[in-house]
Amino acid sequence: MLDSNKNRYELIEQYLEGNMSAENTIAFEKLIVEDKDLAKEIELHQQLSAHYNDNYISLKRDLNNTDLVSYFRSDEAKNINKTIEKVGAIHTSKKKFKFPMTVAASIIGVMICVVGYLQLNKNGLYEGYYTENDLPSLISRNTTKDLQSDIIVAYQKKQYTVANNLYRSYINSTPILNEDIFIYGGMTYLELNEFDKALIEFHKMTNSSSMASSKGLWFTALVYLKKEDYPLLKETLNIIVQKKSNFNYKKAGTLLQELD
Amino acid sequence: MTQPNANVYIEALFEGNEKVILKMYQEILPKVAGFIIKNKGTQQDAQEIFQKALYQLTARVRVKKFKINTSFEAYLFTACKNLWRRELNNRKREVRNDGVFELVSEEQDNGKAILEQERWELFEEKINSLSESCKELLKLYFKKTSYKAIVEKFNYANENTAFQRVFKCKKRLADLVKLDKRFQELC
Repeated sequence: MLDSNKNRYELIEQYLEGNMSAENTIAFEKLIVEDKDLAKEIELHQQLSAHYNDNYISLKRDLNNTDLVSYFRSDEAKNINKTIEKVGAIHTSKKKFKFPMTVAASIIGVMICVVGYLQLNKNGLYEGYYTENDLPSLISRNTTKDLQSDIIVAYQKKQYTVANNLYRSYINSTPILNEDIFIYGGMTYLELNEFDKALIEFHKMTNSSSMASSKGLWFTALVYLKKEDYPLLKETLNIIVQKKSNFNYKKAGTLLQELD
Repeated sequence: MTQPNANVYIEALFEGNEKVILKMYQEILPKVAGFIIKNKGTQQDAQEIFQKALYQLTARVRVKKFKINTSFEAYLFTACKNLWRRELNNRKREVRNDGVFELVSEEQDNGKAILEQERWELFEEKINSLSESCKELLKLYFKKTSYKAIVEKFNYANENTAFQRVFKCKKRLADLVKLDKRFQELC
C-alpha cells in the first residue's frame, strides 16, 4: 500500500530512484495512468534529469499537419537543402583536391595538406575538450557576491575583457577569496589569448586549498592545447593521469591517446 | 577573423549565397567535427549534422520567427552538439532494438529535432535564472550525488534539510518551466 502520509514529491522521488517496493510500484504506475498531471510531472522530471546528464529524450508528439512539417515540404525548404548539400560537396572536394602539378610540388602539397589537416584536427581538439560544464559553479556567501556573479555573467556573455577587469578588481579587493574563481580568471585570459597570464591563474588554482584544485591542472592542459604547445601539454596530461581523483582523469588519458 | 553577424549568414541561406555558405563550412564545421569525432563520430557524421542544423535553422527562422541571441557560431555549435546527442541516442536505440520503431517522415523528424532544440533552450534559460546555490544543488542532485555528500558540501544540518532544499529548487525549476507558454508545445 502506498503511504498516504508521504507527499506526492516524495513518492515521485522514490519511484524514479527505484526505491519503491514492487507492490507500491504497481500501485503507483496505476495512479500514473489515471492521473495525467502526475504523468506529466514525472515526464518533466525525466526530461530535466536527461538534460543535466547530457542524455536525450525524444519528443513523442505527432507533428503531422503542423506548420513546421508543411514548411519542410515546401519548395523553398527543398531548394535551401539542395544548396546546403551542394556547398557541402564543394567544400569536401576543395579539401581533397590539394595536389599540385609537378611531383615536387605534389610532395610539398601533400605535406601542406597533412600539416593543415593535423592543424585542423588539433584546433578541433581544443573546441572538443573545452566545455563550460567544467567551470566551477560559484556559491557566494559574502559581500563580494555581486562582483563574483558579475564576472561569471560577463564571462558567459563572452565579454572577456569586461570579465577580466572585474576579475582583477575582485582579486584586489577581496581579502578571503573563493579560490575557484581562479578558473574564471584564467579562462578570461585564455579567451583573450594571453596564455602566460592564464597559466599563472591556473597554477594558483592547482596550488589552492580548494576541493577542486586539480581543475587547475586540466585547465593548464587546455592552455597548452590552445597554444599548440604539445610537449608541455603531454607533460601536464601525464601528471593528471597519475591520480584517478584528478579532475578529468579519463579525458586526459583520451586526449593523450589522440595526440599520440 | 571577424565573423559576419547572424543575419548575414541566415540571409545567405535563404538567398542561396554559396560563397557565404562555404565560409560557414570553412569556419564552423571544423569545430563541430572536433566535437563529433571526439564523441564516437566521423568527419562525414559531422558534415551531415552540420547540414541538418543549418537546414533546421532556416525553418525555425521562417516558421517560428526565431532570432539568434548569441553569435551564429555559438548557436550552430550548440545545435550540432544536441543533434549529435540525438543521433547517438537513435543509434543506441536501434542497436538495442528498444521498443517499437515508429516510421517518421523526414519532415516530421526535422520538426521534432527543432522542438527538442527549443526544449533544450527553454531548460537552459530556466536553469540559468535560478540562484547560484540552486543551480549547484540541482546539478549535484541530478548527477545522483548522495544526500550525505550534499550535506557535507553545503554544510547543511542533516539530510532532511538537504532533501527540503533540493525539493524547493526542483519545484522552482519545474514551476518556471511549466509556467512558460512555450512548454505546452514542447512536452
